[in-house]
Amino acid sequence: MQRMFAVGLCLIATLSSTSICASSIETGDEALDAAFDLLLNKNFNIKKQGLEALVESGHPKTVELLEGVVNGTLRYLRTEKKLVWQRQSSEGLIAIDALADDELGLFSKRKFKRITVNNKLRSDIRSRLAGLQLDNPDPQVRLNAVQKLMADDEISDVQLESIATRIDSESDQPTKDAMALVLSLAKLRDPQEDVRLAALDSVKNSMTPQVRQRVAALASSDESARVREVATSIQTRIERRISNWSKVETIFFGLSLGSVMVLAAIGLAITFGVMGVINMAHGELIMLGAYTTYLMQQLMPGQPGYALLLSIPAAFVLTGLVGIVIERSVIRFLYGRPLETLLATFGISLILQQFVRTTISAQNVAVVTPEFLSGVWQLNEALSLTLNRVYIFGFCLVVFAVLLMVVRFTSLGLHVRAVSQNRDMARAIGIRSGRVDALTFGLGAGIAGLAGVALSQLSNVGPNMGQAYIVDSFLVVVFGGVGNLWGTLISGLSLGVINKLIEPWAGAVLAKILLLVFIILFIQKRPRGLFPQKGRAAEQ
Amino acid sequence: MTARSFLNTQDKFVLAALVLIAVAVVVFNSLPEGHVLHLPTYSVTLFGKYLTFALLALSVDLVWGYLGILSLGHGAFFALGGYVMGMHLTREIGDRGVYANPVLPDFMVFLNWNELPWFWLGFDQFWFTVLMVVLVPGLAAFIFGWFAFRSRVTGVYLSIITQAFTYALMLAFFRNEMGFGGNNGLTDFKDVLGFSLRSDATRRGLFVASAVALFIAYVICRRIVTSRLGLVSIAIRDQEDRVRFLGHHVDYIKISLFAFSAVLAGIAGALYVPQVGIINPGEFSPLNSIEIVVWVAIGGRATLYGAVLGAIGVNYAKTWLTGAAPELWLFALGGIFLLVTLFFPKGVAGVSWPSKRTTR
Amino acid sequence: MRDIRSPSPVADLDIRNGTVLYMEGVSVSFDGYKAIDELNFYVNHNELRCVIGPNGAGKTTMMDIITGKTRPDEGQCWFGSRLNLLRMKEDEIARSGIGRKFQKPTVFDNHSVFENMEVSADGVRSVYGLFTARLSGEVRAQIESTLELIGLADESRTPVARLSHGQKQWLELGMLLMQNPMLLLIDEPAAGMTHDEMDRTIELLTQLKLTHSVVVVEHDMDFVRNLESPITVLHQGSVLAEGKMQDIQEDPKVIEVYLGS
Repeated sequence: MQRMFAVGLCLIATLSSTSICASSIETGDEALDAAFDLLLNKNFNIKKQGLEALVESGHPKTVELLEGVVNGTLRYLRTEKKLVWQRQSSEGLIAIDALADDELGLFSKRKFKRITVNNKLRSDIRSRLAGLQLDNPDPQVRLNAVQKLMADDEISDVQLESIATRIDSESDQPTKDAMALVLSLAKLRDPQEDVRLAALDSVKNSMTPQVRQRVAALASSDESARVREVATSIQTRIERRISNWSKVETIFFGLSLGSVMVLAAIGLAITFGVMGVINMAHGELIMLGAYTTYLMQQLMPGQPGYALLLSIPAAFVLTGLVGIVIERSVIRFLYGRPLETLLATFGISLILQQFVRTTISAQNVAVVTPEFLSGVWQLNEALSLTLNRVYIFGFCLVVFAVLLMVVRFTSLGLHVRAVSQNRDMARAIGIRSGRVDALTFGLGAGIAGLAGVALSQLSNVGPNMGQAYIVDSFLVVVFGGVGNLWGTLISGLSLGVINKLIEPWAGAVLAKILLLVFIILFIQKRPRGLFPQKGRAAEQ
Repeated sequence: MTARSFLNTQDKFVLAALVLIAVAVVVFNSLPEGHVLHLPTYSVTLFGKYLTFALLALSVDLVWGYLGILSLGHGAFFALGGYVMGMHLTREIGDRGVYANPVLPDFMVFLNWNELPWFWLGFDQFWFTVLMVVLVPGLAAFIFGWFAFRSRVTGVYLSIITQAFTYALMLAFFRNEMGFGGNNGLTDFKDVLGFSLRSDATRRGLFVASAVALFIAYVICRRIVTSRLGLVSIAIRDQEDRVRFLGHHVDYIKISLFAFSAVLAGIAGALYVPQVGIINPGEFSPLNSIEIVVWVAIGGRATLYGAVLGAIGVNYAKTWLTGAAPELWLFALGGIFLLVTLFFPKGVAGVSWPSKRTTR
Repeated sequence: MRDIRSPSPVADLDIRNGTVLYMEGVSVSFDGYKAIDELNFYVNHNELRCVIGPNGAGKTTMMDIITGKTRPDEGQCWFGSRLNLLRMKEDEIARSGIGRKFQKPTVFDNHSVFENMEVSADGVRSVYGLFTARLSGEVRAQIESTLELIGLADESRTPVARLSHGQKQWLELGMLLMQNPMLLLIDEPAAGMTHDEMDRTIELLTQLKLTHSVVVVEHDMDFVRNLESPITVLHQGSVLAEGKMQDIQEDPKVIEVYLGS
């Protein structure tokens, strides 16, 4: 009795915002402290008041705390007067402040006190919790709440009720659809046959795993033959749609792989395709591009996104300059001797690899994926695309388009084409072929650097990474037809798609081998590739 | 009269040096341990390894120097020969493996295979193995050449598909399902023809076998390049189309010499494996193949002795440098590439005997 | 002047009705440009034929088609009446008895003069045969007499790279003789030759006519006139006129093409 009186006093004190008696919990937020004082009371009616008070408090962590209460994971330390989560560590139990999220240290198991609730209260909390989230102004939070309910196999009537009352006023369409789905899922369990049938009809376009599970269960073991029949037909319908979407997904993966191949190869399409230089160090230029990204991120700690964006021009300039140096110091002495060029540039590739190994590290380095690149783009229940792949695909197209413009419409492009077709004639009409060679090679190298920036988001960045791309890149260029940029694009993308189409039944490695064999045979049938250059230039 | 002689001064020098070194190595190694002139067995093995590399370089020089085919995939034939020998040595392990299975190699037991795949049959016989050392690389090269040369893939394109060829084989051999030990390859060999691979005598024997193989291959190659076939093949190297208009079977010549060269590479691989005691898919890596080309380029292409000296010289430097300063090796190798292509396109041989170019 | 060997016998060659080469309705175009247009061209046994025409008339392309270097879009091309040249590869055509000297002399720079001749020598063509081939007295004698004929006997061991342009022309003619084909296609033999050398070439060609069939493409009209052989004038890929020098010179169409309209 006395105790109850004291609590009453405290409540009054709290309401009048003057704390005269010590609460059993001290969070710094008085409303919260008062609510938990009530929740810790033994009387369930008072606990219920505490619950109301907690919901009313409007504290940002309310949902988390309520969930903790309902699951029994939220504890408190009586002497410290803290709300805590407990975490197991090798030394024992660690208390983590539930509000400040910082560690309070080791405590013996007995110190962690439970906040007891009964089933009635628990269901109350669930309902309030659902309501709390479903009334959140942020549609994403509402959607998450609904999706969480959808995954919950033991969804209670209270929760269904809270959805049913809100579905009509819901303004966000995805959330509304999800709500309808939750309700339909519940109806699929309804004892009445026609309710189940109606529900079946309403989920026939859904590809959600829960729906598939439930429909499959109905198809195999519902007591009514009619329901089984309808469920079976809907099941096939759903599975067919899913398999169609998975084909779309395969194509996307193929295009994504293809865009990587195009990115890696397109610089080579310039140096090898247009200039005829066999640049075995191409893969190492890609590697330098990737390391530029790494170094930029090291220079700008905490800003991986800006670092990545800045490394696009930085990598282009850096690898472009390296390319110009290579061209001026080595390659220009070897024009017309392709095999010697091959050997010399291979030497350069070894030196570049070892350079990175010596100056940075022989191990792979970690390049951070910035936030805007991580995550997925959910098109529907069956198809989600990882964002970094989508961006890289777009990046590939942009690089390609810009390069095409440069070759088509700038004077550099004009000079490049002139020199590649007839060096002597170009020189005779006053084109400084040496300068053009250097710039062209620099352009090809710079694009390899751009590829490196993109690839740093997909694969490991290490001194050897370039070697993985060199054979592929040459094959893409040769397959597409040397000297033809469009050929490179189409060949890269189609090889990517072919690879991903073979992969499901052949496995990744075998698919790769089959692809290589295919290209080898193709080159032997059509040595000039898919889109050969025509005319006398091709005779060389 | 033509100026072509079967063996010229440099050839005689190289062959004589080969015989001398072989005899010396065997004699000095046979001296009792502790003797001042005793040559440790690991050096014998090291020299044996160099000789197999010299044979490999010879095979590349034959097609690159004299036929104009820059193969960036010759390491594949070397590795194929090595795998054939490795399979034989694996079968010879018998029940002395970790799992003591009398028939199945350890890795198959590990993979829960119940019987020997068909392509492992016969390799317990040495004669069959020898036959396969010749046939497997030879046929692979023949089939590859049949497609490539008849459809007139030449120059850089050819080089790139040879590289893709060895790359594809590397990926394939990395797979456990292929049945060649996957990642780890074949190793833990015990003996060859009943002689323990650990004994000094066997090591000497393998070294001598490598020297003999190199000697014979050198003489045959020299015969080829000084014959009319050699004349025609150099003509193909310089002006392939023109040779066709003379009515020569350019494709057959290329296929034959390419396959013969692959056989030499395969034999080199078969001699290499028992000496180093392991063969794994790494031997297929494109980098290995391209290194061979460097040996030849440094020694001087289109001179057989150049290929031999290049292989031995570069590998000696590699052994020394990877011991002394491992991080410098790739710098050195890359630097040599640049130096040779830019300043000594004819290799060391071209520098030493500049006046002997008439009979190239 | 020494004797020239008669051509090596060719299996399957059927020239009973006297025609060695038939080209009928042959057309070929490169990127829409018609290099050869409905060409009909015949060469008889033991005939020396001159082909002239302005640049781009299709003379070299015609030779490319005969030797298998270029495949025509349509038409027929037969060697004798049994060998369909369009179904044969370059080396098969060469072995069947058609030899060619190119406009730009193409010889093997890294070989000596003698070795160039040896590579060309007819007879052995199998891979193993080439490996075991010894320089028999007969072949050596042939090479030496041919070298004599083309005036390079003293240069036998000289690397070809050191020869002059004119000497290379002679060497290629010599290689052609060593091949000893039934039909010789000779593209611009007089280019880079002195008057003296031209006279010797004319003598050689006239002598070859006795045992072989020869087609000569030439720009130098003096040279052509001195060959005293039937002439075919090509223009825009087809035959404009055919006949003796005299008739050709008076043909108004030829005058128009050569002198401009």
